[in-house]
Amino acid sequence: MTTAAKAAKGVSISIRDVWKSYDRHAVLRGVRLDVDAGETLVIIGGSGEGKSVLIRQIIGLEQPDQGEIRLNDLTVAAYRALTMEEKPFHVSMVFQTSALLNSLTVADNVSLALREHRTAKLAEIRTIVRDCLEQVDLEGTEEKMPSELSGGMRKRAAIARALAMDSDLILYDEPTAELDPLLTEEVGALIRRIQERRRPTQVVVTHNLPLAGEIADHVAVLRRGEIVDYCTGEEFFHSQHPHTRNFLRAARVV
Amino acid sequence: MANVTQTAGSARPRSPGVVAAIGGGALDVLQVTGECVALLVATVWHCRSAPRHVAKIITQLTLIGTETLGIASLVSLFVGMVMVVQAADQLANYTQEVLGSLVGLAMTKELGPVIMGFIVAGKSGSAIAAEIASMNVYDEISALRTMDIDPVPFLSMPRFLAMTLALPMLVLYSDIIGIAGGTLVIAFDPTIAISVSQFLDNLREWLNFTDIVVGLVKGAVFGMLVSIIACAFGLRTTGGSEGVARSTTSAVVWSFVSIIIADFIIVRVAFLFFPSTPR
Repeated sequence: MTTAAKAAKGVSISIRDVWKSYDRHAVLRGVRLDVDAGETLVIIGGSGEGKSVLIRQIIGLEQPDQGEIRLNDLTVAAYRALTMEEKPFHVSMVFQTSALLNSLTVADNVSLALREHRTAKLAEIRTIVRDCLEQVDLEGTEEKMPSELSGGMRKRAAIARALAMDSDLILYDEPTAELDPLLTEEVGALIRRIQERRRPTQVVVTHNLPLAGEIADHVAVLRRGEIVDYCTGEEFFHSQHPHTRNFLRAARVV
Repeated sequence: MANVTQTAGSARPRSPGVVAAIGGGALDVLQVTGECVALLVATVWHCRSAPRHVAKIITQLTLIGTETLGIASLVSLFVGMVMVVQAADQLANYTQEVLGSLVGLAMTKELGPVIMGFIVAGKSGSAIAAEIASMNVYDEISALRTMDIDPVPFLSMPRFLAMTLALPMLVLYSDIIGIAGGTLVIAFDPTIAISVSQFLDNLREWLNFTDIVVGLVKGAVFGMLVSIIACAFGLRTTGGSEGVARSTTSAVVWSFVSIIIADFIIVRVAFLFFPSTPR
């Protein structure tokens, strides 16, 4: 079994009273949320409600103005301060834009962290890349450039990059944005497959309600920077919260 | 009275006054300068990891070479040629024997470094700023950070070293091509009274090693400035494709201005150590 195919440890997330403002406009207003190790949480919310901002705080790309986020026992700031070798677990993010480096091939993108941190030998890296691309059904694309891939393939390559890091926590920012329904289904199936095979903690930000119902252990509904509804994936479609009902009705899910 | 109260309460945004606009502009300049200095320090610090990034440095060197060599040849050739034509005309009533030293010194000490600095800023500096700005806008820099890959050694350091090495080489090349251009005009223009050998003898008599070295040092300093400014503007980009365009333009303008300022400072310092003495 290669590094990429190992079961992940899963990371618990504890978000306590997190506030974040831009130009005096509060985007997050005291968010409190817990995610258990190994579960998939889907964050639902309208545009500009603070979903992407929240996951950028979780991975440490931005710091909250107030409040604290802990990954297992470590604050995000303490986690970010550790070197790659010191980190007790790995966190990665799949961006809305896929964020593949356009100057690198797919294989080089997938293996980027491994090569830069020299955490594996060259032959081992090749095996990991092959395994990860296999897991996302992108075999044979190793030498392609990102510009030669379709939107769905780019998303899957970005997921392969997260898998190559042997991530215990994977954050997805709108993983199905700008994808057609078939590709959306493909990416949803892939997230579910990763969950079944490796059990990492996954946090998925999306507008796509059917996808949420399909992959979520829990769903959190974010409105005006606050979590207004929190339920299991099964309960979500029967939620009685007025905002969730409106959302479901607008998406013609109920 | 009612009207006065209404006007006071309507809180219509006022356009900033002249003083506020100048102050804001000055603060922006200070902020960008600070960011460039901070990036320079971080980049120089990360140069110790250069042996690990040799492939990236060579790739950047090749890019800079292929992007600029053609235009550098053309511009240097014609600058050398036009300088001889202009100077020969001005010196027609005096002596044209000084043409060799004039072209040689102007090319090696001033025109070669400054022209190459401008060309590299316009071609490679803008390309670097646009590339890094796009990476920033499309979250590629954020992706690097999530993988614990510092953009300074990954992006800035190889470009900094490549440009610092490339520019002196381009300056030397420009010196040679410029002098060759001048020589061509001397050889084929019947209105010029001196021969090619007189031109080259005068050049050899007046041009010394220090002049060439000062030009090469200028090239290295301009390379540092252009690369750091391009990377700094790329890294501070926000606001989508419009932001990419703004950063690219600003990087080129800042590079041009900083090249001219640095040129003046280097000349002043060089004259302190190597004063021009009558020969």
